[in-house]
Amino acid sequence: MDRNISQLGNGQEASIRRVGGHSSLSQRLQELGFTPGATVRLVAKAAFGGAMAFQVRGSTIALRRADAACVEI
Amino acid sequence: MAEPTSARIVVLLGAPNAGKTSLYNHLTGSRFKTVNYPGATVEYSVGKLRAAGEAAHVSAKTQDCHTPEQKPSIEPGTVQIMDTPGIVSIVPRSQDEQVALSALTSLDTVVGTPHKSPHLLVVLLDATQPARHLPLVREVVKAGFPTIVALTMNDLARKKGWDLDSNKLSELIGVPVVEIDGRSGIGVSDLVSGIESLLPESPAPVSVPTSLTDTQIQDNFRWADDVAARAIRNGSYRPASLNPGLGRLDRVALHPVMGLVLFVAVMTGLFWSVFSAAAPLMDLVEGLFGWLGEWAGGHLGDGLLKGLVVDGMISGAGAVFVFVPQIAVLFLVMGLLEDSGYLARGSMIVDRFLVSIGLNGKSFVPLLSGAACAIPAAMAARTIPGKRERYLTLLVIPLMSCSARLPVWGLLLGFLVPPDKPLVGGLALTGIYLLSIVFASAVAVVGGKILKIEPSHTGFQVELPLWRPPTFRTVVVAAWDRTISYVQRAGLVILAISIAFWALMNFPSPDDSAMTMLGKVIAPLIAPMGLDWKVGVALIAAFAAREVFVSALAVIYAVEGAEEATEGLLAAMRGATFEGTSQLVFTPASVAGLIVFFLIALQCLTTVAVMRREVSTRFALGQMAAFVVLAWILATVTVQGLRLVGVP
Ligand SMILES: Nc1nc2c(ncn2[C@@H]2O[C@H](COP(=O)(O)OP(=O)(O)O)[C@@H](O)[C@H]2O)c(=O)[nH]1
Repeated sequence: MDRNISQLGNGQEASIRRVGGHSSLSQRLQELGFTPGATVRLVAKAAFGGAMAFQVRGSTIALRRADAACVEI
Repeated sequence: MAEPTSARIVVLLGAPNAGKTSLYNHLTGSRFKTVNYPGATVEYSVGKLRAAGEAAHVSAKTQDCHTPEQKPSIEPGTVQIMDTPGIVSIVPRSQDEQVALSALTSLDTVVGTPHKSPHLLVVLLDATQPARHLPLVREVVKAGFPTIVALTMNDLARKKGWDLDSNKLSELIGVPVVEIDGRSGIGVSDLVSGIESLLPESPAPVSVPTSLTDTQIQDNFRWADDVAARAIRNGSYRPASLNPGLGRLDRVALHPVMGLVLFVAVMTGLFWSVFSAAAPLMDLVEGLFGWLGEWAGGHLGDGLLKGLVVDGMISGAGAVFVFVPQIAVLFLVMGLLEDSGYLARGSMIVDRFLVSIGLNGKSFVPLLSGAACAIPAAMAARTIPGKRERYLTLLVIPLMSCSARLPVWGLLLGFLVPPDKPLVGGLALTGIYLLSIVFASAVAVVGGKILKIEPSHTGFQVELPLWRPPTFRTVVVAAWDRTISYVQRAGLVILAISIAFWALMNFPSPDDSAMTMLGKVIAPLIAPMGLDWKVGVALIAAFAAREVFVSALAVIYAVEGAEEATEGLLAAMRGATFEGTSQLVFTPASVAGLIVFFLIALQCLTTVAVMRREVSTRFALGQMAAFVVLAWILATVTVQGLRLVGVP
């Protein structure tokens, strides 16, 4: 099973391998800086399986968990 | 549409929160409020470029109930600055991004210029996240726009530990780069000189791509990473060093447990403060109107004029204006929240809950601003990318308890809660807000079943901006502006309706007035809600503006503008009986029914107009009809239900 950034532990970093999912979503994620090769760090998780916050290219961006699962590492 | 003009247009473009509004204010000398939340500018603003040294003309434009639409006007022969909603990419994915893009490709339809594209772009580049904002710069330069880059947030970047070399950047990008400080305005005059020297007579031919391939996006970022790395003056650039982890505040605000607790505390605090912080000020306003009534009464003699002024105008307006301090506090606290950067965090926390009722984390800010007014809230909903989620948000926005309802709550809670229990009053008001959220959630769920729009694959992404200590001055000025314009609008409507009411009640004669005749017609409709025709007339008047309900009651019960405006009205309500009987009109049950009615009924025609523009005539009319009927049914059920279980 491919790993994705939603499975990162708090404070963990990883390098993006591929961005999957529906094309409009995957393009928006890439436009936000989640491109293959970029380093991503998970910094926070909201309660009850809610959104997660990541740092990428110096910005902090919150993604819904399902969206984050499209970003493979 | 405006006349075609020969004005030259400079468009400000950039990511959300890059500092566009701050720069716009410096360039044009206006004082829009800046909001530290992605997507605060949802319409264009256009203003004349202020020549260096020219004094700021203070023109306040705040987005609120009273300025639903403003057509920008453009003077020929001038240089006009245009602010746009923030965009992430040159390919738009939501309505507000589409709005920004139209400023690049179809200016003619937006502001009526003879040309389609602007003369010059000023692209804002946030120095704290250069690698993320550079791809947009590259795309517009590639498209052929004459461009200047304004480098903002340099102070924050230095705090983060790096410094961007603007000369080096300019060399690498191939367009001028000017460093500015959006708060102090330092560097803006250099930018103005840059604009003046670069501004062409006519727009350059451009070709804006309508889509980008994955390869293009990735290539842009590879370029951006490289440019950023080479332009950073001190320290070596490693992408990881840009990801330093969370600051102290975020460790609490984004913590799964503490973050949720903080969120609930902030929201409760917001609505609580509306009640408690405003109380002393309300006494002041009340005293003022009491004094005004007595003074006017003493000077006008006895007669029709005194009746009109004291019983019609002063007591009508006074009954509502007592609650203006509450509205001011609401605007102030919401302004503080907007300015601090908390709202984006809030939307991250509630996304989980909003998804489960068919909305989106991005619905949070529109819904919260709905607690002030539905009009700006509807515009803020443009930042929601998915059509389905946007329509559902628009559907429930009018159910948020807006500021126009505050005077109504004040009066009705004043009736239910003894004045010596302020704690209970604060709780009751918070309870009303909670109830509005419950109704809105239920309607969103039901609406989701009815609405025939496929869910889109847009998900939820939001940038969490840096925390900023709110600038006290900006927040206070904005709250002041919004309160004043509230008073102006509400004041006019209330005065007009109060006078009309007073006339209807006194002609042809007080005993056989036009009002009584009208009342007889609507009495059967209002009876199930446990109320009499007088309240029914006030409910109808409330369609002009909800707060009119309060002033209409004051006029109907001919409350003297004496000592305590609300106390007088409350006393009159406590004594009011159904005509010819000793049965009380206002009882705990019927007042609870009224609260339910006001929570749901869509009684704001401006909202209907805005919904029509944002969605369709069918949607707007359907929404109003549904909410009015639903309000009537639920109010009736509440009253009759309470009576069944023995509540009087
Ligand atoms: N520290 C710092 N803050 C800035 C600067 N420019 C703007 N701001 C603040 O950044 C926030 C967002 O600015 P705003 O103009 O609303 O950005 P917009 O969303 O692009 O219109 C506001 O709180 C501004 O006060 C700057 O150069 N330095």
